[in-house]
Amino acid sequence: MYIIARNIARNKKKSLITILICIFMVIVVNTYLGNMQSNRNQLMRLPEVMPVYCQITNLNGSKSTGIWVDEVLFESLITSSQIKDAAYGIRMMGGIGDFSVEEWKEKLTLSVEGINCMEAVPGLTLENIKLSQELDSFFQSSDAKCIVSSTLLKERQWKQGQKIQLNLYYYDYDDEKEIHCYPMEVLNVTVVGEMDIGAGDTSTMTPDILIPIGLLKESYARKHIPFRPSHVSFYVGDPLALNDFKAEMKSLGLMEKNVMAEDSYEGCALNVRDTVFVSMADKLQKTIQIFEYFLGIICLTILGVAYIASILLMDSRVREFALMRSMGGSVPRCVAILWTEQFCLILTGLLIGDTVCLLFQSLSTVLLLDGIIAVSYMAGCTVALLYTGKRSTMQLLFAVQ
Amino acid sequence: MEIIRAWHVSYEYRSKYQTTQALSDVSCSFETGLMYSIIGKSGSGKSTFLSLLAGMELPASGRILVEGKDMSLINRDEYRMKKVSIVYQEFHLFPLLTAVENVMFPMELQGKNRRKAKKEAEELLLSVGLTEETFQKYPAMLSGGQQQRCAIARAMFSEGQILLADEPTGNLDSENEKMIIDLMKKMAQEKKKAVIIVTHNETVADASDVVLKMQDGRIFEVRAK
Repeated sequence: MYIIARNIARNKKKSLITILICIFMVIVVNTYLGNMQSNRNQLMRLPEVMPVYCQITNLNGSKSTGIWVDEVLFESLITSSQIKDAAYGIRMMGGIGDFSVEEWKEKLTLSVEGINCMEAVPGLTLENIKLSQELDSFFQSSDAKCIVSSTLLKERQWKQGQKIQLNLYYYDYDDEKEIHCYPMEVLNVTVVGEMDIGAGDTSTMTPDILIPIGLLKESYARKHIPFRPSHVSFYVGDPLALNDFKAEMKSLGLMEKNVMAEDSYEGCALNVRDTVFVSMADKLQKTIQIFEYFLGIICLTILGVAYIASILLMDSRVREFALMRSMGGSVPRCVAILWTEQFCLILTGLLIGDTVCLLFQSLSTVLLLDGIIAVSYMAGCTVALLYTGKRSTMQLLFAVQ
Repeated sequence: MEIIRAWHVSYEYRSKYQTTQALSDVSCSFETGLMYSIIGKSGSGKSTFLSLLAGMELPASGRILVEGKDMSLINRDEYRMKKVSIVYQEFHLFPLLTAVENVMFPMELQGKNRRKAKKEAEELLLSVGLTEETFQKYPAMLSGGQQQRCAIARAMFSEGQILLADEPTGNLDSENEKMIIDLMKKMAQEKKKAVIIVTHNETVADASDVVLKMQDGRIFEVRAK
């Protein structure tokens, strides 16, 4: 080991070149892979950062609320693994008290909506709802409770905890696709919350009363009326498998928007807002492909450099090798001295390079690349030494002509 | 005492395109305590013969016997380590080792204690006429004569009885040449080594106990004093 340490110290330039070559190789390869991995990570995180929003609309895409979505389609959709965070609701007309059908013009003045979550109503946030219980559990439940708008609360002078008789009428469509309102049920509900959505977006009608979707579903079931939501939206479960998602939606009967189609109320088309996501994903995918394509070339270049540098450096020590042989050093011993010297230098170079690379690359990747670089460099060194060992010591040292 | 014998030794250099007969049927023997010169023109096979005696290669035909043992049957690495030492025309010192480290190197290769090796090396350098000032100098800072003396000191380390020298005065002036010849003689007479020198130089030949003349790969004359 003393001979090796001394050789390294005395062959300053060659030792430094070897170390610098190793550092360079480690940093280049790790940086390259780091960039490639970074793009991969970005692609994996893209669905989280850029979720793909979908809405069921009518065929020409002009309506996304106030439509009716077929019951069977709806049930299949909600249970599909390709979607997540579904927000849906059913809009109804309501009046207070048990009144006859003939009185509907005067009495049916309230807009009532049954929703499954806060996101089903645009503008509804935690800030503008006051509720005595958890919002999610409220909307998912079948409790006979309701949330009333602040305006209505003031107008009717209702208080929290007050029971009201809510007479519900549902929308239905005839064969000519005309909308009609039919009586459904009178529900006794308790006012448990207040909402104040405010002016906001006037393009959608703000409901006066919100009730849990479970309560309405039970009412529809009791009356044997098909449960057809008037608006459904959701997010794609795995945007990276968009094709699978679209295939499934197609199999459920949802069509692509057709602007030439006639106006209608049937919710049978799907509006997928995937343009930006697809564009970003495409760009990332292309970048990754370019990286992968050139990775092989980069690796081969690095390995080639390591191999050739090793051979050239060893070649410059051939006389030293011959001299050791002439003094009785066996081939294995002489090879071991020079080989170990090179290995120590490579290890030093790799470790120094690693301290930089660990700032942006994982330990396992760094170690793997270290192994590959070390193997290729030492392979070159081994070949050079074995070749040197076979060269004629006589011709190298004696004045043979 | 006979230490090494060449018996009908032949050697040829083979390349892809030609074969060159370097030695043809060379037979001779060498004894300890004597200084031998092998002289001849360039290409006569002198250095080739010397390298065979050094155990660098084996003859294509014939045998070389060391202390009665066929060289092809002994461990030649051990032979070079313990039985023979070599001095070269180009000195062949390690350029990045100091004078004392160069002399120590064979000892380090054998695994000797560094302190002892250093002490022995310094004594050897002093014995060949180098001063303490030169001990820590690198070969590039030494004169040709000093370098060759350092090389001889390294060769003297070996306790082997054979010293081979390939044109040891080839790169030296006459003053240094005389110094080297004297050292070689001293090693033959005092240390009882068989000193075998390959040379062009008639001065070296004149100082030797036995002169072997070579031509075209053969020994055609052996002259003893």
